[in-house]
This record gives sequence, C-alpha cells and structure tokens, in this order.
Amino acid sequence: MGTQEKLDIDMFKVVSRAISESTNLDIMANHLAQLLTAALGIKGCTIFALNLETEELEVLASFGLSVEYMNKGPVTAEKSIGCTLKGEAVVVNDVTSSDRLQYPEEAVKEGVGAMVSLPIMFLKEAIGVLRLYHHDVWDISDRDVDSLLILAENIGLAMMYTRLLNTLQAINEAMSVLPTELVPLFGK
Amino acid sequence: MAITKVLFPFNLTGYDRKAMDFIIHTFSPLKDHEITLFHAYTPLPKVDGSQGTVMERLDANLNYLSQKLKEKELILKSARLNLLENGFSENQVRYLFKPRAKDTASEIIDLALTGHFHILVLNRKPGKITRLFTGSVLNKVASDLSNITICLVT
Repeated sequence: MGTQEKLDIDMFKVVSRAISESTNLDIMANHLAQLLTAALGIKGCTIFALNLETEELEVLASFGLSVEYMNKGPVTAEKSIGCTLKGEAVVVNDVTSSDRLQYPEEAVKEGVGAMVSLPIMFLKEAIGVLRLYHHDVWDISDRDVDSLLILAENIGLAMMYTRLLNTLQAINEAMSVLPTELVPLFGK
Repeated sequence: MAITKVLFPFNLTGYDRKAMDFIIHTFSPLKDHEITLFHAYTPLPKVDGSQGTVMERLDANLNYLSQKLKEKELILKSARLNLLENGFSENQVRYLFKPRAKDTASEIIDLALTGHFHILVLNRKPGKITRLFTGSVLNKVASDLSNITICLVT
C-alpha cells in the first residue's frame, strides 16, 4: 500500500462544497461521511461530537459501519485514541498492533484494518472528532492528513454555527411565551 | 373496524430495541393497530458532473455507498420480521425507507400528518450533546403536531 495522495484540489473542492452548500448540519455531516468514504476508498467515516460532561464521543453522523459496531458501547474520549483531543491527528496504521483503541477486538471483528482520528477544533478547543476507517493496513499521506485537518476545522465552524442558531431559536421560542408586560424588560 | 395507526421512526441505534420491546408488549395484543416502521436515510450527495476526473474516481466507490444504503434497508426489513415473529400479523406491519430532503424531525412531522397517524413512538437518550448541534427531534415534533399521542421511550 503506497502513500498516494487521494485528496487533491479537485476532490477537496467537492468535499468542501458539501459543507458550504448545506443548510442542515445533520445532512451535511452525513454527506461528508459518504463523500470522504468514496473519495478515500475506505470502509467508513464517523463524525463525533465531544460531550464534556460525560467525556464521551457521541456520533453526529456515520457511514459504512455496522449497527453492531456503532452500538458497541460508549466511546470514551480519553480511552479512544485520546491524543486526538489534544489537537493531534492520530494515524493507527494497523489496529492489530495498536494499544490506543478502546474496542480493538470489535474493530477487528468489524473488518477495520486502520484508523485515522482527527480533532474537530473551534477556538483552539476540541469539540469533536473526525474518524476514518480503512479495510486494510493504511499508509495515508501527510498531505491527505493536512487536508483532512482543514476539513475538520470547517466542520467545527459548521457545528458551532448551527449550535448558535439552535440556541437563538430556543431563546426566541422562550421569549414568545413570556407575558407581554415582561418583554420590555429584556429590551433594556 | 377502525384502525389505529402507529408511526415508529427507526434510527438504527441501540435505543430502537427498547422502543421495539415497548411496541411488542403494548400493541401486539391489539389487532386493530397498524405499525409503520420508518427510516429516512440521507441520500448519496450529488456531485457536479463537470468535475470529470473526480466523478470517475468517485464512481468507482459509489457502488459501495449504494450497497451500504441497501444494508440499512435490510435492517429495517429485519425489524419488520421481528414484529411479525412477536405477535403481529402481515397486514399490521409496514415499513417505509425513503430518502430525506429535510431534517429528521420535519420528515417525521410530514409523514405523521400526511399518513394520518394516531400514535408516534419515539426513543430518546437523555443528556445528548449532539442535540445542541442538530436540534431536538422531540421538541420539534411535540410542538408541531397536535391530536397525536406521543410515546417516549428513554
């Protein structure tokens, strides 16, 4: 297996557009997982959001992995390729010889040969993880890793944008049920 | 006999099993209840045809993506079989596997309204952070639908 670059500028444009042209985070994240799987010729892709309270990674979108594997158990941020949350891209070329996985047996059973885990950052804080799964041992090129890190930053922006939008909508709904005599108080 | 229509959005997670158990225990003795299993999948993204070389490279792997979508439909079919093996008759259980154009909540609301469903069974894991990013399906469904019973399995 060589280290040929797969995410050239044309492919990068196609994948980036999936982010910029979507108005719905759920659909955008699922399209991104599908496109990355096809573009890289890999088994699958998952986008996680980090839950700071439980310190678990929650699936935001996923493609190519079985329901059994997705339901294998809680994915603990620290145990599952924990360095990712420090802002590092982590490449596990061969899952059978790595001690960084939380569920190594399940990964082998699923037919995962290698994983690449990238942080999704916003304002220098990790808010999620982009994870790619290959059928075989995988030597991903450094340039592809760099491209994926940029994509992950864009995902972070999209995630925070929609989170802000959802918060504003919730505030708007709460304001709409306030007694009318209280509404002017919030204008001051 | 008037039929009571039950809509069960199936999102292919471990929580479906709990909701499935609830449906079996609650509705299988009731022969006037009809269950519809529903999953709205994200269709494969459309890639600009002018990106010739990219299309060629993606095409090789798009079959794999299509195959993965078919696997999802098989899971839905097997969930239907599970209901049939647990007390429901053939004409009591349907399934609907369709591409979605909107967010999950809007797809559920549209189907509940157009299909004139009486009961909606949802499952929900408390405290999920992803809800902050994608919005709460339950909140949207509960605020947009009226005259429907919503059963929540947690």
